[in-house]
Amino acid sequence: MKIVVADDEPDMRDYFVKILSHLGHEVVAVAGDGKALVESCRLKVPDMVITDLMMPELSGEDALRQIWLEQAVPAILISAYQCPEWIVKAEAIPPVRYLNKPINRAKLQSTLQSFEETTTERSSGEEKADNS
Amino acid sequence: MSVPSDFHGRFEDLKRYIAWSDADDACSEELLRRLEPYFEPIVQDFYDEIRKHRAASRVITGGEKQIQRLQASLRLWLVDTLLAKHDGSFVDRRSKIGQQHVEIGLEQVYVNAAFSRIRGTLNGVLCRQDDLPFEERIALHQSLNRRLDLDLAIMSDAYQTEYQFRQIPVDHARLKQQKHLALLSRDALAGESLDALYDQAVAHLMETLQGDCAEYLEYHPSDSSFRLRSAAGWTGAAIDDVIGLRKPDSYYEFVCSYKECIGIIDHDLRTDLDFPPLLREQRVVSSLQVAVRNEGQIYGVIGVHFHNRRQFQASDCDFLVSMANVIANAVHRKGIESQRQQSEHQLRRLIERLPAGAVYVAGGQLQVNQAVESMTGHARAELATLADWEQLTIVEEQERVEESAAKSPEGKIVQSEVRIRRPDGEERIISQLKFRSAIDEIWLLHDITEMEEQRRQQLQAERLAAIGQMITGLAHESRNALQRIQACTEMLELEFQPESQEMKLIGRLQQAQDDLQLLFDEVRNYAAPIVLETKPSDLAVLCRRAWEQTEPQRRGRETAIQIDGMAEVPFQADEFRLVQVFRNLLENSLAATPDPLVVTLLFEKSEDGQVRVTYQDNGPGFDENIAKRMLDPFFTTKTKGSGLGMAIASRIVEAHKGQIQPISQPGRGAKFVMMFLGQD
Repeated sequence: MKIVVADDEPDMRDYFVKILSHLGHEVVAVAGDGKALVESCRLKVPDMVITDLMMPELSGEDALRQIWLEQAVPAILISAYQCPEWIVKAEAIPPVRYLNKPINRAKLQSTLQSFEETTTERSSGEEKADNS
Repeated sequence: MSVPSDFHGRFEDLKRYIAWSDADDACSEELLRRLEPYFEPIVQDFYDEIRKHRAASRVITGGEKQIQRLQASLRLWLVDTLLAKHDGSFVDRRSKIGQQHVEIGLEQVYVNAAFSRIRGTLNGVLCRQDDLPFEERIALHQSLNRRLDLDLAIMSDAYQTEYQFRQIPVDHARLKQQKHLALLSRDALAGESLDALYDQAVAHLMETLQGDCAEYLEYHPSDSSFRLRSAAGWTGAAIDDVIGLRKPDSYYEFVCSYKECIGIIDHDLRTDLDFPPLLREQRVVSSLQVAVRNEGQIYGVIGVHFHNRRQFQASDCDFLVSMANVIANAVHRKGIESQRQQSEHQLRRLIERLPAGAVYVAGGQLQVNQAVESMTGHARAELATLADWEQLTIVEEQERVEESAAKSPEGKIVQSEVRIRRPDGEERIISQLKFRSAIDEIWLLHDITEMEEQRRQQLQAERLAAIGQMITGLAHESRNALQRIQACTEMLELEFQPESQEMKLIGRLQQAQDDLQLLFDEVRNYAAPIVLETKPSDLAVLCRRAWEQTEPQRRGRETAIQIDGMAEVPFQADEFRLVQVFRNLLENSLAATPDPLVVTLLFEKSEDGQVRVTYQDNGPGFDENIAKRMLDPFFTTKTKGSGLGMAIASRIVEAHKGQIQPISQPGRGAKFVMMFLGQD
């Protein structure tokens, strides 16, 4: 998968690049804040977005809302805090998963796998609401 | 007895006659100064002499006590005679002495003789005043004699007038009535019972008016009846009989409608009056009756009756009315008295039953109410003095004077707390509010032991909550840092061969990080408020689910679970949370018990719907000390673990309106009993 990642922590940006490549994905862009994330998505049109929730300039949440106006890219949100209400309640948004910090390779891997399965199901024509 | 007004005019005449002058007024103090030292022997001598004369001593009926009183009067009289201003009030005082002599029957000749004796003695004393020039001595003699002359003249005059007044023939019948009235008034004032007063009034009527029958009827407003309360000469009627009713046109309505006394000379002639049958049966020909009333309120009717025609005197009517007034006053007073007693009783009851201790302190003596007795565990006889109270107290906290109250002119209010020890050894904390005045104190006591305990617990809870908040914050904040450690460790892993020395170190680093993460998660779990999301479930099912979740720990071990009692245990539960509780117990058993581990669970339901869950394993169990502290946060006997597992479990059970109790039975396995309130 072509993935754009965003995190304000340099350590985390390095981590995503290294681990995702190791897991066989391609990190096409790395952003340090929400604004850069929106820009990168516009440029790269990725298969997946992985973003931290709390970031300077524009939060991951707000960045996603903007991106989704342009493209229905699936996303993984990562935060130290509880999952935002709107993600729990929303129905008509692109597939989104929420991961609580700390995350590790195993968690990341299984989440990405479940995405790939959903995408396969979708492409086989089954309309199934996520996060219901 | 009053002093006739012409006495005063006569007195002025007398003064001129004996040539009374201002010089006499001026020397009074000189006279007193010179004579007073001799008063005592004069007074003694005077009464010694009286004791010798039978006619004089006869009037002294009160023995030596009366003589002592009379001696005191004589001393006062001597001073008065020498010092007094000779004005109108002096005449009044001397006249009274004259009248009193008539009253007690002392003949005038004895007064004259007594005067002569006193005069002689006093003059003798003056004669011996050698320090005075002759002329001055003579002047004092003359002034003294003028004074004594005036005294005697007034006394004699009053004596004579009084004596003559007493010779006037008296109306004996009227006197007798007045005497009876006076007796009745005296008894009424002495607080005799009303029934005794009615009896006396009836007896007095019979005696003074020579009646054939007499009665007192008490009025009962509830049924408008007049009932016999006291009777003399009545036949065929008993006390409490209804004699008549007060209704329009009835005989007693007629009696009550008159303020004054009703005299009926011949009953047969009064065909307009409907005499009650019981009264008719007394063969009454003439009657005197009057209502006993006070400010329009009728208390009863008093009457006297005759078997013959009687011509009544106005004084007879006055007598009856006066008697009715005495009774009315007595009834009114008794009413007030009983009201007062009732309100006093209510007040006493109020204080006695007050749900707070009340103490009245005066002169070191205490009076306490019931609440004080139950508060202190002492009977009031054991709390009679301040010293008794002080013996109870262990510590008295600093008294606090209430600022606003301290300025009150009524006294001040002092607040304090005192710790007392009850006879059963229990200590109680009492809040003491003292209202202090110059003469007494009123204390209001409240047992605040439970309140203080609650306050202490609340303080503890607040402190724990504050600590919890801080730790939760810390745990949250640590996540980002932990996340970075995690990220870096994983990146590092990519750099080394799987079996290398470095990878082993990284593995240990990873383990330490996982442990830290787990600890933070548990702390957060413990401190976070428990909000239950309940739904109908089955405790037995939840228990099995927890067992299944421990599968990784049980892998390769010999373990078994046995569920007894009810097959299904319907319960409104937050499934995730209760599974957590069971899992916690199971994990502890797994950690503490060598193979084979057998866990038994017993589910029971009592009649009132309480659910009882007994958990038991076959491990080493725990002793009483550990049982006591097991539910405390951070308590652990394991080398690993936060010590929060059981504390969280306990909080979850409490949130389900239950309680978990570790039962100590060392060597016979760990045992826990969970009790849940009935759910409807």
